Amino acid sequence: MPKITIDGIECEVADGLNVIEAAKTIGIHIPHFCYHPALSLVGQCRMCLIELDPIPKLQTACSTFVKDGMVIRTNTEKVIKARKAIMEFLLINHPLDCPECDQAGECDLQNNSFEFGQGFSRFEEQKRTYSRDIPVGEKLVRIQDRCIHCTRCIRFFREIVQNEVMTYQWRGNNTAMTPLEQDGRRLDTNYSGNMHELCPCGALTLKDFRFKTRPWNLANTESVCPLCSTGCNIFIDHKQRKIFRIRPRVNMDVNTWWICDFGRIDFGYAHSETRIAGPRVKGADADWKTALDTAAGLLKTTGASATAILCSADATNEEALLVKKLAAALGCSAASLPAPGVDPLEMEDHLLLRADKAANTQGLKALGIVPDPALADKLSGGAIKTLLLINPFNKQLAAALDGVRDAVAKIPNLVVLDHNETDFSKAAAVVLPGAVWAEKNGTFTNYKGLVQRINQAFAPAGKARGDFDILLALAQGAGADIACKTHIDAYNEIRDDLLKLEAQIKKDIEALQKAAAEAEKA
Amino acid sequence: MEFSPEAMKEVEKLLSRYPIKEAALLPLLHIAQREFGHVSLEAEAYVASLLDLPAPRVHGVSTFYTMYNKKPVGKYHVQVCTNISCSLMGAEHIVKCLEKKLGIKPGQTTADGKFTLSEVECLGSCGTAPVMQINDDYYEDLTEAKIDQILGGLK
Amino acid sequence: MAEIMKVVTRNMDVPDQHTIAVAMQNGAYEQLKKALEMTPDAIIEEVKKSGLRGRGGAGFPAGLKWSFVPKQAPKPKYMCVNADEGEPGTFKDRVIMSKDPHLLVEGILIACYAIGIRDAYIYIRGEFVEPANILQKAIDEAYEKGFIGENILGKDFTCHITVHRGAGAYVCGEETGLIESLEGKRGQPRLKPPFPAVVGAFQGPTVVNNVETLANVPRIFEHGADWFAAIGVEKNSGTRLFGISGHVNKPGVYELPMGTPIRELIELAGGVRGGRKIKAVVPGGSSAPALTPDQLDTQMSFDALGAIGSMGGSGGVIVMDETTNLVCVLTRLLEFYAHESCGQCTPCREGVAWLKKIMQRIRRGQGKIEDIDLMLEVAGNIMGNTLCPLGDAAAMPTRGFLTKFRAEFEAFIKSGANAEGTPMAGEGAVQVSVPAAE
Repeated sequence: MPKITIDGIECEVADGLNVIEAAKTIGIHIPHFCYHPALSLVGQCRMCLIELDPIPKLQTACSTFVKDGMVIRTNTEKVIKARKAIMEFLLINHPLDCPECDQAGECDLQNNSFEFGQGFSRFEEQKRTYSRDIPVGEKLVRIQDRCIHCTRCIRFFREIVQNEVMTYQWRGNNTAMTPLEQDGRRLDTNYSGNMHELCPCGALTLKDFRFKTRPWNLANTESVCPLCSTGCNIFIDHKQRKIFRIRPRVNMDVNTWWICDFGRIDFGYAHSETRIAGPRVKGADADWKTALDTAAGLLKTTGASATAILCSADATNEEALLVKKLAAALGCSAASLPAPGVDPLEMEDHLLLRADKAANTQGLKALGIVPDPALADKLSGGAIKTLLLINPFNKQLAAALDGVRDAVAKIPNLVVLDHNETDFSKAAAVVLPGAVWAEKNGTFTNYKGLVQRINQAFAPAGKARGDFDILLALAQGAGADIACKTHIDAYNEIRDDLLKLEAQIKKDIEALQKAAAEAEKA
Repeated sequence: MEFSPEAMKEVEKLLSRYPIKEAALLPLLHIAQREFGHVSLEAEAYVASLLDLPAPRVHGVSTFYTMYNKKPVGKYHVQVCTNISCSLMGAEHIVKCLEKKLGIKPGQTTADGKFTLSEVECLGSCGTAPVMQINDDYYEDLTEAKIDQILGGLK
Repeated sequence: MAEIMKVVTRNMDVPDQHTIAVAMQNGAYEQLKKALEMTPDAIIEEVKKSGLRGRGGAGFPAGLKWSFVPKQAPKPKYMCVNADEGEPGTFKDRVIMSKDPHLLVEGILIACYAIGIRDAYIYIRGEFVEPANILQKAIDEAYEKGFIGENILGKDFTCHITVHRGAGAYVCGEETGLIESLEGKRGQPRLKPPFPAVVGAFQGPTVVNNVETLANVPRIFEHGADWFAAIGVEKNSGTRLFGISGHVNKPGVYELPMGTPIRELIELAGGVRGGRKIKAVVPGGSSAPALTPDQLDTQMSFDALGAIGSMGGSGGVIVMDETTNLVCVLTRLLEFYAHESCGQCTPCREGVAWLKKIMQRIRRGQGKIEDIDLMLEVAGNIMGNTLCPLGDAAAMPTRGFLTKFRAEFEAFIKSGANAEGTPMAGEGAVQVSVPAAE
């Protein structure tokens, strides 16, 4: 480990770090725009200039890698002057339209200007301008006037998405970052939304988020994306019980810096008009007590062999535990349905998207709720008279139910617990309105067994309740004696099982990777 | 949009000269300009397909270099150097003469499509300033009389 | 007065010297034969001993540059010949390539043998169509004669030479911009390190040498390093092809020993036209800060010009007589650099265009005295902070003109004259009377 000195502070840092990252480890911030740890080094913005003994010229911190004995200065007059100069250069053509820019408040250009700039401009000439508000596909809006030429967008699409839809046009002071749809390329990649975080200045912003609110008015809840088994770490940014956007949360073990656009944009179902408004019994609105009592009663009427619980893999681990306990109390089976050809490990692309479109397939597996191929036959054959169907709104469960749709709708004692209406909820004897993931606390186990916490951003909409509480009430109504009254209690009960699974999956994945590597060699 | 068989032969020969295909991009864009008159978005995409490159990358390259005409130019592309050495020797006057004789301003093409007039940066012929380049050829030590003679010789 | 010394240009007046038959009658490829009998190390030593410095602009010792290339490299090594002659005021390499291409080819081959290179690319600016054709023909002839290709002269030495045309970008004269362009990319200079000698073209170790530099190599082997080192002045050995343009009676390329005073070159070129006085002289291409008339006894060497705050650069000398309007000159220069900035790094992309806009405003007659200090500060903020030397190349002449000729710029601003669209010099140029210095 090289020993270096930064601003007089001696420290030992990891091998292979550049000076920006090395300085970060001791709490020194070196401002930068073009540098991003995931992208190739270009050293273009020149904002990270530092003094490096004994070189007379300032050096870019991003492209200077630590060596034993290095002496770096980030706070000298020369560095401060250079930063002021770079900020002045970056702002001479920038429109300074922060009052109407969505990036304001979380803008590198704004923040660095505030911290390192000089607060006035000596530029009196005509600014460089372009036509504004150019759509980049369906998801992004481009305002080239604001662009500071960091080229992160170009490098991101080239190096990370591996689909070059952004390129340069012209050169010099006229250089523009230009989206191009040529040779069959579509501007909308599955990862375009990441520009929202990558662009340091509001030149590329999210269409969905335009003019909606200011980022500082949003609460940020740490959560996990439920849309596939990758389990990308996210922030739910919300205000007044409404999600405004989803952003990636860096987790180098899962999603690194990115999320896909589905995870970023497809949260509309949380606030859709098809949210189940309240509990119903035989199609009529009911109060919660009546609905829960009726449901608990129904579940006990037809005997264990004619009763089943069918659960989507969007249930949290804690909810899954209660499903198990409810099934035990009823003596019936709790299962999911096999989604054809879905392997939690299977990738849909080279980045993040997985074929398994449920959040917690592995968690349910750890708790013994696995696909039951025989269940489909029982459902279509009419052997099941009582069914607790949890979250058929989940696309994967919906697809699995496709062949038995009519049969299930005809089950006399159909109890549906879900957050959005489906054909099943409309046909159900009892409907229990549950919560979407943003309204829940609990854990998901991702494709590789990593147990990740989701936090409640806001309470369930309207009369809806948390699935955990609903399942707890049903289990108690079915006569089960349940010690775990909260999701924390539940987690503590299953923790060891989940960790065991994580270790097992890790081993399995390593074996698979080894086999794949050997196959490639051969 | 396709290259002629002769041009394709040239392409093949070019590809054999470089360790990577991409390196043949500048020469291929020169060929595209010769074959198609200018380098359009379609021409960029065609060249991209010949080199297995993403077309947007080719666009980035073709717009970087000033010799690739993004719009059609006249049969004769008259490019007058107006950099220091030529301007010291009266390049402005040469441009004005050409403007008058051709009836167009720099950046424009005559109505008959014969001439396009451009001002360009240093052509590397400062000892014989003022200088202009028409298509591939240099014309040096320019005077008003010489311009008449040169333009008169272009059919 | 200085005398022309024909080393590189020795055979350039010989009719048909560009053909291999005539060139060989004049000794072409004899030095290659000699060099192939030597060890590569001995060749590099000889070049080092000669003191040959790069003729492109920076004046870096050529032998040293060659010795930086690792002997054993996992990737193939490459030679890039910089024939992108684009620095305003420079027009010497075009002469070499057009008149005596075999001299260049021979130099390339000797260098490649010494460094262990099998592939050389001559990156020639796109506008030079005719020189490129002449060069290509010469290369084809040399292939036929077995001087280029597999097992050259029956030795274990294989070398291929390819002419690669640029397409209009001054920045490709910067060695890593050139390499990027050769690879088919935008000519945006690379972040250094790594330097080309370690990672250059196609990821391989690469030497980038100027045309004139390589054209000197056969002469060094013909007459010996000591002979070469004795020409010129200390640490600036050999001759240079000085291209003189602007307001002289006989502009052109003059080969003179390094260190010849500028005044003598101007005299050789027939003096200033119309017997006028000199106002300013650019000594080494447009990036070199201009000299005042009292500096004309300066020797034209890398070190002497460096010592007075200018540079030897590309050897392009531009003479401006007393009728020259320096406001027009600096505006035009900044228009050029802004046009040629690649645009990747902030100070050059934004700063040079800013300087250009200020100068254009001054030229329109809307300048303010404070603009001069602002420009000096902006130029200072560009200097040393850019990714490649182009930013400096714009900032240096800006600072040069504005400090040395400040009185003229101030007088122009005060006069309120509008010089847009007027000639830069001579009849019709906007003249302002500059108060005599106190």
